[in-house]
Amino acid sequence: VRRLGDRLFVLLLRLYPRGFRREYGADLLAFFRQDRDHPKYGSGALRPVRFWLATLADLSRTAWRQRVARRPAPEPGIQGRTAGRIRERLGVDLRYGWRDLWSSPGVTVSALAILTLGIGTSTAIFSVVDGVALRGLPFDHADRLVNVAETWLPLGGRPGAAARQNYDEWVARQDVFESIGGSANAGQPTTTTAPIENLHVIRVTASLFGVLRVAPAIGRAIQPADERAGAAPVALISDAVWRRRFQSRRDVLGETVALDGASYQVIGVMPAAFGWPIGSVAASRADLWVPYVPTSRDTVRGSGRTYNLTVVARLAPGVTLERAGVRMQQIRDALAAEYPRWFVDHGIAVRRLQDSIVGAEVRSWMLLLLGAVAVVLLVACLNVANLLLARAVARGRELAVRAALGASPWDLGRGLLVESLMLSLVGTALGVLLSFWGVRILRATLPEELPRLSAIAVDLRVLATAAAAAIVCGVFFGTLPALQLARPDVSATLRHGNRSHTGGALGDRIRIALVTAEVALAVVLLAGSGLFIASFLRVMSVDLGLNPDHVVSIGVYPSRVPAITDRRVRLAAAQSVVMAALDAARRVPGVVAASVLSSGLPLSGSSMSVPVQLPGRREPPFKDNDEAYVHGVTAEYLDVMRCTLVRGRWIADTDRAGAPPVVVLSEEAVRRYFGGRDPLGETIVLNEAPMTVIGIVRGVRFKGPEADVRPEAYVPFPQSDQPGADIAFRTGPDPALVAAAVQAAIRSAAAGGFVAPAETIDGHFAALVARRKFNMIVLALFGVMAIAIASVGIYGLMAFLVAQRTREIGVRIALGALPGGIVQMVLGRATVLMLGGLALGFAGAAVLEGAVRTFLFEARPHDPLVYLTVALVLVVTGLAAAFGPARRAARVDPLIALRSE
Amino acid sequence: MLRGMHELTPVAFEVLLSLVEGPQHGYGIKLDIESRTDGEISLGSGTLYQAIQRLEREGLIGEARGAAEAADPRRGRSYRLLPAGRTALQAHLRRLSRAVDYARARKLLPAVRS
Repeated sequence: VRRLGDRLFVLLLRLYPRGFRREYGADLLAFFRQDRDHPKYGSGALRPVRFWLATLADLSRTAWRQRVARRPAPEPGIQGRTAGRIRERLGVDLRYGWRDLWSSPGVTVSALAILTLGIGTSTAIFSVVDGVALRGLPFDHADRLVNVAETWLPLGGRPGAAARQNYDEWVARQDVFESIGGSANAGQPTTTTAPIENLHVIRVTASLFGVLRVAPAIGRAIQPADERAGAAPVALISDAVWRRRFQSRRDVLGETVALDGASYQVIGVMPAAFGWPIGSVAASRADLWVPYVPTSRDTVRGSGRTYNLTVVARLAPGVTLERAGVRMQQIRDALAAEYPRWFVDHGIAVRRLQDSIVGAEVRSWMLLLLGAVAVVLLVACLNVANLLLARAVARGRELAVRAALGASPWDLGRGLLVESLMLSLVGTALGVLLSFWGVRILRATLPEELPRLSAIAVDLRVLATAAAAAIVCGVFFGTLPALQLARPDVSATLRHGNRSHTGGALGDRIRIALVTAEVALAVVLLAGSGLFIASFLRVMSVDLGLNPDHVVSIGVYPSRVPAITDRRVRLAAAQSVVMAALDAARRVPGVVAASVLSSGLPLSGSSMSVPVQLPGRREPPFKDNDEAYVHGVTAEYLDVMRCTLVRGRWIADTDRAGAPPVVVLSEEAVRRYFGGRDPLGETIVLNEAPMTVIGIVRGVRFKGPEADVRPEAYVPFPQSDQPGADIAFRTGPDPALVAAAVQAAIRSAAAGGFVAPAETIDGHFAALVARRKFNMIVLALFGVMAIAIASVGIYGLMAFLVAQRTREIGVRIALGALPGGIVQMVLGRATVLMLGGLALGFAGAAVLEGAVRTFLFEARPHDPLVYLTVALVLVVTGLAAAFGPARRAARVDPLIALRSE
Repeated sequence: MLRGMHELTPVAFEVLLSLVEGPQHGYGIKLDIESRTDGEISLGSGTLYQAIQRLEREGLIGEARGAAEAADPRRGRSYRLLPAGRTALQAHLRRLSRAVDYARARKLLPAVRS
């Protein structure tokens, strides 16, 4: 931030004349740097604001004096301490600017409104983009942190977690990292003491916090002695747990946290700002960090392989990411020679830790948002430039007088520049206020899958950027009118007044170009939002094969009865608890239908696939992607999900354990496994268990609208091998109320088991489309803003042109032109303008479409419907905007018009 | 009206006063003035260097080369009082002192108690 501030200041020094800058530039910078630490600016968030306000006030005042008065000021101002004196002196210095701004309050207010909107939106979006994608991770020298991942070669080398066995080899063999550590999710066991809650437990190696360079706020870190087998179980707790469960007591060390798996002694409390792992809201949950004590599964290279360790390392001094990658590849290859079975399908990758958390896809999504909001800001700036230009033209006579009295073009232009800077600074201040509110809304609407959601805030970095944007905008829209006035035709203006000649053809052309550019940019945004809206509508209209409305689900996981050793008996006992829970749920009033559903809810992302075989089949076995999703269900499942039975019969209550095993297949399964043959009555082998096909149902997009229809198999839950399941039920009008009642009923029926909170299939669906919805809403909002601002531009320009041609129009009316003809003339002018903008905008949109295609669902290139709608929206809004001035033109009284000049 | 004398602006006067004890760099001058005036006068960078520019042109102050602080680029250059500056300062102070005496005699300011 400080370097940014330095750069900004050096840039601002350009406001001084070259001689002064050359002589004192370095000293001014040195002064600026020292002044930053001056205590008089107070403390807290407002400190930089006070500092910058004081600096800018001093700078603008002295720069003005240096430029205006070739001789030094007779009485250089003194920065006083009291607010009254500052106000008094500011009043003197900026009186010109204010007077000019308030001489035409309409223009000032509309310019401010547009700027506030533009800068507020961009600041809010920038804080999101900055928090998610641009800002470094909150660790010391985070740019030296890398993630070492084992890659899954069959999927093109997708990086994933590492096996503990391999991690241990890396630790022993690597020489490119200063330190290396890892963490693994240990799930969310339930506490056994009040308050009863689920805690997210993360297992970490003792080295991990050293790698991240973080230490507990209270207590000690995890040490290597803690991760030896047989060590007393210890834990570091999060700040939130410390506050919630231990009431922020300083003497928390030595207390225990009792979980249903084990009980941990608290050895420390992590700082509030610390979080690990870092990722989406769900992935970032961590309440307890415990030592990763390796078991034999983690150390012996047995028959199974578990990849669960997220490995983080800190590059040794002087080692580049590339060298670390090469070295780790060598180690992987050496290991592959020793343990070939472990590496047939696994490679290795070393990435920046930040890249492993914020993937390229999220990054480009963020840049898309930033690009879109930049266009909005640009439209806003163009519009303000246009407004100021119009005002400068209206003040042409006054400026011409000043020029005649000896003011140089530079003097006049600089005045306009100061005004526009004032305008943009006030606009930015208002915009920043707006953005605090905008960020709150954005944080609440952003999909939870987004990594680092909690890092989003309007902070110094964001404010500095907003300030820079304000200055750039101010200079930009101050320069244009200044440019136009660089050669005022003094005599012509004085002779003809300010109607017909000031600014002249050049001014008109600049203004027309500005409005055309505005329209073109608005068209680009509108076309973009149109594409996203169309894409969203396509996603929403995909037939899922089921109806998620009013479907609620509650997970039931019966507790293990240790006394029962026989697997089958134990399974039957567990399943009977689930069936009892189902019965309890069905009896609750308001439940329309209820069914057991094991192995994952539709649209929730979890599922279970099993290999499929057909007896007597000669062809090679089905491949991995021919595996079927298998669901254990009961009789009312079709009514709960509103799925369709195509042929045969559905599962009945009589298909219980011990009865002949049956299965219902989806159409997709029938197509893949049986080709064209009729499967009813045939035998199919799922997971090595043969069963008879009794029915066919329509396929379901189990993983959401954008996923393929996969083969599915429904088996009676009592015949499945799942001990736990969800109870899914369709409710009447009030799902939340019914869900609470069902929850209570299930709790008492499944005594001793774990009953999960209720979730709705609707909720899962909303999460699936959250990102698309967010993009659509944001872009649509931007599109509306851009078209609204552009309409103001069209209105302003047409009003200006009409005012300028009052005399000409008067003559026409005097010569017999009809009001209709005059309206037509003005609207025709506006239409030409819009068509120009439309053509430019479409060209731009067509080029940019390629860049956003990856964000769209089944995008049609140059979707004619979208482009047509955009054209229609633009022409209607544009004509509406131009109609007012056109009517005014038609009402011109020729007598008054001709007499007035 | 003030022949042979430099008219000193309040800022210039304070800057000169700060250099009486020896050379100072820009920010040091600012802090000195602040502590002397109890924070009543707090100069911004532009205001200060504008005054320095003028005082340098008029030959009242000069760059202090070789001073210990001058070597530190982080603090900026140091300035020292030139003889002409000392004369101007003294003239100004004499005028002020006369004005103060006058004001005291007419009870505009409280008399000094010893």
